[in-house]
Amino acid sequence: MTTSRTPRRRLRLGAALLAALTIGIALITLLGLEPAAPLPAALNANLSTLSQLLIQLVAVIGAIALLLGVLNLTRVHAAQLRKFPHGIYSLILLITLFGVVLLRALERGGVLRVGTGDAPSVSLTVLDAAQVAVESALAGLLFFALVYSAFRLMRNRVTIWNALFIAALVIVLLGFSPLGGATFLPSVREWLLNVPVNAGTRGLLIGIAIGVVVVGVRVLIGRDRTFRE
Amino acid sequence: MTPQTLEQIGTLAGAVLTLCIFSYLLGDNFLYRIAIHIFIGAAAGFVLLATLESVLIPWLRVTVLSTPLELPRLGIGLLPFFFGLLLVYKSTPRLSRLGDFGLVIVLGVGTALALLGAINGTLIPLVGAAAREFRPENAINGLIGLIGTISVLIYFTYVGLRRPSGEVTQFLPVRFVGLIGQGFIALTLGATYGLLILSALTVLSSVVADRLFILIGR
Repeated sequence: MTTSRTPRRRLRLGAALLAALTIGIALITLLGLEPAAPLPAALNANLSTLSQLLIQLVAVIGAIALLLGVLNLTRVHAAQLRKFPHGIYSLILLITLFGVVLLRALERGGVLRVGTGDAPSVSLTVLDAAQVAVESALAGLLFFALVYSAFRLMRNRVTIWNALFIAALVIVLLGFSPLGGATFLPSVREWLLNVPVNAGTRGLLIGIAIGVVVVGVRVLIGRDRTFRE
Repeated sequence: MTPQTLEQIGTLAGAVLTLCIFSYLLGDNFLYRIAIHIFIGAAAGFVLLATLESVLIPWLRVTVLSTPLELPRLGIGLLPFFFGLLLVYKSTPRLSRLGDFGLVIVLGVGTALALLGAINGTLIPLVGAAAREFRPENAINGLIGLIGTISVLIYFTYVGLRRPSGEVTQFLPVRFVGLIGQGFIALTLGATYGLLILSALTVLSSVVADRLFILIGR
């Protein structure tokens, strides 16, 4: 007599309810956005209204989640204020955060106003100075990291795939550079980007889309393990 | 303060912050960390303001604060706050199951949107584009494109054969086509990397021209 060693998975009521709710909400949203022809027009219209409401609810829940994230950031950095030297950085972060909010509140209240009519608002100037400047500087810094990484790639180990990677990289870089006499390079670059790279990108994107569809269908048929574990 | 003065102060502050970020090239230092923390603080502040001004306040205006007050509208208006509150429970081990109910609506709607987006936005247009490339004057390139797309998809196939020894190996044709796919992936990533380097170089030159030359008066 043999006994099965595979443990039987118990069906939990809470997990089943969660899965049923998720499937129901997903189906309502799907049918609302892509009306099914066999269904009556009135039902399709109701499903469409309901799906729009569900999407709005999710947008507001997302906004609340963002709010909770900012509150958590504030809590974590407020707790670090007493530590040295991290406390100084946390203090700078909190001052900037509350400064931006205060600035906007003063601006909305009409207390803080620079110039008239088309003059840029103070909060937009701060956004440009603090956020856009740092973001673009970080993107510029990326250049050095990318070039150094490409150099390290060939220095560590040379394989056929590394060689292909670097060949494509060099063709693209040289193809865009204004080298005198090398008129064939831009056409090689164009062909590389339009044919093999396009095909590779298409394959990767189709693969990702198939993965998304598979995961979505697993959720729809209740096979996803998110609520069961 | 005039708008011109405000703009000058903003440009100067941006240039100083850019210099602080570039100091990272000499190694991780306190100037870089200060700039990064200012950036995070400002980003969090703007996210907070955008969330409040663009989503939450308009939502409350059309639901909870609308006149005359109707009970169903009030209920719908408070519903996302109830689900949002449930999300807080996800951080506590004892009550994390309650937090799952907050995720239900997000997961359901997210799944539906992802499915529709993947099918209508990616699969159908890309398969159509692959088919349209087969033109009589472009047959060779169309064939290379088709081989590339299919071989990249096959490269990510994990179907294998279990040998009597217990070892799992891929079928030889699948492995061979997968190798071609790996070549296409290497070319794709290399070219994308090259384009990324060019974009970063463009941003770097624009940052140097727009922000750093201001500091030396050019």
